[in-house]
Amino acid sequence: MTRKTIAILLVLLCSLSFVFAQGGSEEANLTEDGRQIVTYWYYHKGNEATYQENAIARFNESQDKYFVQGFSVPDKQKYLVAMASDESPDVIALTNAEVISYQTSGLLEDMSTMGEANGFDFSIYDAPALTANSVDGRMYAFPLTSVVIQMFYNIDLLNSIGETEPPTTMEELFEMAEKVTTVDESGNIDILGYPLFPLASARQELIYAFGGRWAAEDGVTPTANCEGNLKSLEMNMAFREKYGVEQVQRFVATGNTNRYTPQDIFFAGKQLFRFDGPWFANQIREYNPDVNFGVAMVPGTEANPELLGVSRYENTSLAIPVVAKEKEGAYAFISWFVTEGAKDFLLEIGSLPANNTLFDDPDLLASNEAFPSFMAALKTANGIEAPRMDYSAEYTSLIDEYLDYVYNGTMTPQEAMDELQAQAESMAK
Amino acid sequence: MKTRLTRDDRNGFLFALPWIVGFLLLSIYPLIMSLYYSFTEFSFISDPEWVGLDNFRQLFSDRRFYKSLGNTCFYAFVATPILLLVALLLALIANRRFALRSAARTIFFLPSIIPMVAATMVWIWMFDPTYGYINNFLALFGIEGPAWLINPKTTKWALVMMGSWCTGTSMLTCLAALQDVPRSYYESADLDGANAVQKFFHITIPSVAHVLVYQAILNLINAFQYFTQVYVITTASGGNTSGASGGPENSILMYPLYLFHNAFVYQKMGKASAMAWILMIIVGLLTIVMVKLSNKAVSNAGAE
Repeated sequence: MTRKTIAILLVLLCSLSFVFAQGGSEEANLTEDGRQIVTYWYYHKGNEATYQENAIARFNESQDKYFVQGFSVPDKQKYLVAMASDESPDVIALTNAEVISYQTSGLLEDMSTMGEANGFDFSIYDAPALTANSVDGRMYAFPLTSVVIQMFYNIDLLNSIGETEPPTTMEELFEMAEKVTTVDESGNIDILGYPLFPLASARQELIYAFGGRWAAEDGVTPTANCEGNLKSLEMNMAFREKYGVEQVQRFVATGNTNRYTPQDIFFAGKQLFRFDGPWFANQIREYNPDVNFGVAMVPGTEANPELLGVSRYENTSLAIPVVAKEKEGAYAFISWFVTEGAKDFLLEIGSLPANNTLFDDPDLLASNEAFPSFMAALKTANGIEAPRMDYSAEYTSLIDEYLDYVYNGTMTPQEAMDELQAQAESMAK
Repeated sequence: MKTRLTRDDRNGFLFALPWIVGFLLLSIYPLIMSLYYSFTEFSFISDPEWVGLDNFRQLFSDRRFYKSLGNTCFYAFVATPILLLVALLLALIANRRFALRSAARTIFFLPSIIPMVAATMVWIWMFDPTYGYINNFLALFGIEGPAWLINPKTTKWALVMMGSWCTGTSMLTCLAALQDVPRSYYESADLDGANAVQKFFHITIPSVAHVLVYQAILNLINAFQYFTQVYVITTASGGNTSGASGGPENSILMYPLYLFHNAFVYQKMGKASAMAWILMIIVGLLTIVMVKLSNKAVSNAGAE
């Protein structure tokens, strides 16, 4: 064979291998010791990925039938690509909002049916956890962790205005916030009293505390211009206007840039009230242990004191894609993880449980000084699920846009919410 | 007349085959499929369903579509000339003979090799209204800087500032063009008593006009694909949990960002494909106009 012929054959080989590269060969699905391999994709990375791997190792040690292989896949678009291209993992970790979104496209296995067939005890979940992962009354994922937001407060700042107890109503909170807020000689805010930051909490807990909602009980009817939303925004704007819209925005911008860094405005003692998650307690300890802080439930209002502890309710949940190949193994892993495997994982990762048998667990309660207040909030079942209309992602982005109009003084709360409501209704059509 | 393929032709074709196969599969096939998808409702994971012109109709009645187009046009038509001017000024400095010229050229080019995500994160800190270097610098002159990235009136200008920092590639192209201008032109102008400004406008600019226009076309096309910086800024802002923020009042919702939101957040691949084709048509038309203008500019410069 001449060199030219060899070169041409090589080129042809390269071209053909390129074309058929995706064909792939069947991969072995068994370990050397004969256990069925189950693939599990989670979106956690860094230390959180290590905690996932630790949980997987504990499951594998307990098994002689299945062997879970974990993969950290922070980019969730890859989940969709994998499912669309028949290379699906057997188990995926996702948020409850994604459970709804995925199942709207029929992507997930019916966990209610699988659970019933295998004698799963559904009573470990309270109503918010059940509904947050259900579509048409059927669960499509089992929740592992919960996220609720409650109120952190700076005890020294509170004491500086002669108060010893945190507020239980928004009216009290507003009064305290006004007393604590200070401005420098240029009119710039030095200490912020009202919990305008983080912006995600301002859009949720600060709204929910007034009985406001972005969607009706059915989760799909938009309620942007409901009375609670307007009341919340009116109080919000009363505070902003008192100290100057531009000045408040500047302070919030600084808060945003430095969030969860050593320069965070709460760690720097420049924020009285902060609506944040339980992880915030660990961060305070890490970045500025000198901050004298307390944790209490998000206030209600004088008219609706029962709203105490109201918060968004979110989960990290575990689901099985309908195109998964090892569904039995996937179910075995998930049902173990949300029950026997949950506590050790939660202790490591520092998250709240979804499983109500762990709400009073002494080890968990002792693991984070904020947990007693957060667990108490979980028990009130005052968790609000995010809107679940099929255009909810667009709706949320519209909400943010219209809140900007309000915060910047471009529109009044009534104008902005009316227009937002009209937009949402037109999307529903 | 029949043309017979020679052995060399055939061998050449075979050697080019891997690239051709890759081009057909990875460029032409997705292009054709995206055109097809633009006429379908397609959520990425479900089968596409033919909807005719619905996606285009939806887009043309979508407020955010126009907002994103307007934001992108602002950036394209405001930032492009500013960025070009900055690049030309840097090139003029780099073209002069002075001590440490090589170091200056390196410094001018350095921002272009810094990963864009890292650079954007640093800029976010620089724009901090309280602790940021920019407002601290302005404060030296008694100016109270704005909340750059939270005030919808200043967000786009912040992007222009970020862009003007990163003009190394354009600067290099301009520098190469400046070095091609024959010195004899300047010597003749000196004999005629021309001053520096006259030389700049009557010799330098006409001589590098073709490069400037070429660079303007490239910058304009890049502006219509402006994504990374706004994606990082809106993601880092942390307020939006839908994953689809366009900045304060959607003031930096650029066209490619909105396209991305439609494709990967709202899972409307059909609508996103329609947006991609509209973008391609816009950029194609702009390129034709710019090429015609460039031909005219170059022939005018040649005549001068």
